[in-house]
Amino acid sequence: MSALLWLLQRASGLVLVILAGLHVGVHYGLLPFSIRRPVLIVVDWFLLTFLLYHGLNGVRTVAYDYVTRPQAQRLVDWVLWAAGLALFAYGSWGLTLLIR
Amino acid sequence: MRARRFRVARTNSDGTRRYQTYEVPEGDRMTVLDGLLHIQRHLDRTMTFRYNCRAMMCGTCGVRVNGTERLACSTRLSAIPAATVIVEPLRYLPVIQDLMVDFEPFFDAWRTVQPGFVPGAAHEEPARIAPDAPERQVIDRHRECISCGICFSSCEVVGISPGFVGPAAMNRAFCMIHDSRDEGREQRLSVLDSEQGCWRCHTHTTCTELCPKGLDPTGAIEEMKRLLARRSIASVLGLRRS
Amino acid sequence: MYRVSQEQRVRAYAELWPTQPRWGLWAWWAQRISGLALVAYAIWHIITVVGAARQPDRFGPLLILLRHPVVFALLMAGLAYHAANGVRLVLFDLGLESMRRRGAFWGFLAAAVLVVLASLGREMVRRL
Repeated sequence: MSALLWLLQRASGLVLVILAGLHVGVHYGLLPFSIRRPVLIVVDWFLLTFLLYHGLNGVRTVAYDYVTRPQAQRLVDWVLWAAGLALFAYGSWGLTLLIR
Repeated sequence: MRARRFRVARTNSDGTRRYQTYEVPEGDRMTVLDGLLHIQRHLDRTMTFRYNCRAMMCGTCGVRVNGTERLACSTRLSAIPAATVIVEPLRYLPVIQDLMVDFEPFFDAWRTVQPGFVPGAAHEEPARIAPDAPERQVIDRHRECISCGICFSSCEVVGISPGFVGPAAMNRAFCMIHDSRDEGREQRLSVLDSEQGCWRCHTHTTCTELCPKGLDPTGAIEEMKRLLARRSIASVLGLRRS
Repeated sequence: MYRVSQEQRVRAYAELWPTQPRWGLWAWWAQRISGLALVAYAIWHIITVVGAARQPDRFGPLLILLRHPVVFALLMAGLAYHAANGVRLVLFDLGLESMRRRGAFWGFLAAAVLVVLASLGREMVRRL
């Protein structure tokens, strides 16, 4: 399990370099090309998904450095899962508002 | 002969630390260990430290010199640019007296990975691994650990994460899991696959940079992470029994 | 035989500040700090952007803070560092031994700085 989390952290990190680059580039007008709105919303949704995984798994890694009792680690997992799913739902719904 | 200032960590009778300064005449090709011996013989008979072979072979004289973990016997005074040589004991190990530390926590971690050979089913004796065999080649940069504790002391994760097995133990486990005659592989891998094993290593690479025998614990841990990741993927894909 | 008291064991763990950190340690600290800061920013960003989409007038001022040049600059610096060091780490994790060296670290950092400067430069040229 830990091995897969580690692997996905690396994979999501690489994907995020591209997604975050596109997101920042578009919203600050830094890209030499433009992206159509529907594509942008899809890109933003993938950004949301990968970022929540990468970021919250990163927080988990930091937490597990200091929290070593298995029961406390389960609590950390629970909190992060709850936060992650809540933010994912909220963010996804928010993106649907931008579809005009 | 000019004098070099030594500032050595000492232990008071109540267990607290103080730093004591000595002026040590600096001879040609003199090492930190030579300096400590001079202090003990001529300046302060109560100076406490460990040493043995004086040849970088036994791993007894591990200390921190100006903040960096070193073997006292192989650290030349001429290689230390600072005017004052600050000598302190290794980190994360209880200090018994002055520079002498208790290695029990180090060997507790060492023992968790089953560092000894686990004999198993019968092999045709003599069960010998050829020097040019791949399994011997792959552990080439990991074999000659003298358990000096330098990598353990320099590892930040050892300091912040209780129960982390540490670079030395995992380097040792790396050697053992590659021995085709050994039967303890699965047991060791389950320790390494835990949250106190490989996954707590954040690849600072300090352990590899400071190892006095030129070993590569970071490389060993990285290789084992890859091994464990491949096994996990194979499990998920149903290609192996997990 | 000596006995090491519990008090002595506890005092041993007071050696927490590394007196001589090496480059790998600085790199890791910066990765961690930038990562945690980016997570905090991302969470805040999600909440405020969705909030603004729902009620544009109420969340307006918060969004403006996101566009403040200093905030933007810090963000880009943190993101560029985290991404550059992250890519270096992935390459090392994949087995490229050269990525563990200090030289690779500075190389990736320089590349990230160049990319950020180039994009900022483009933005400033447009504003002139």
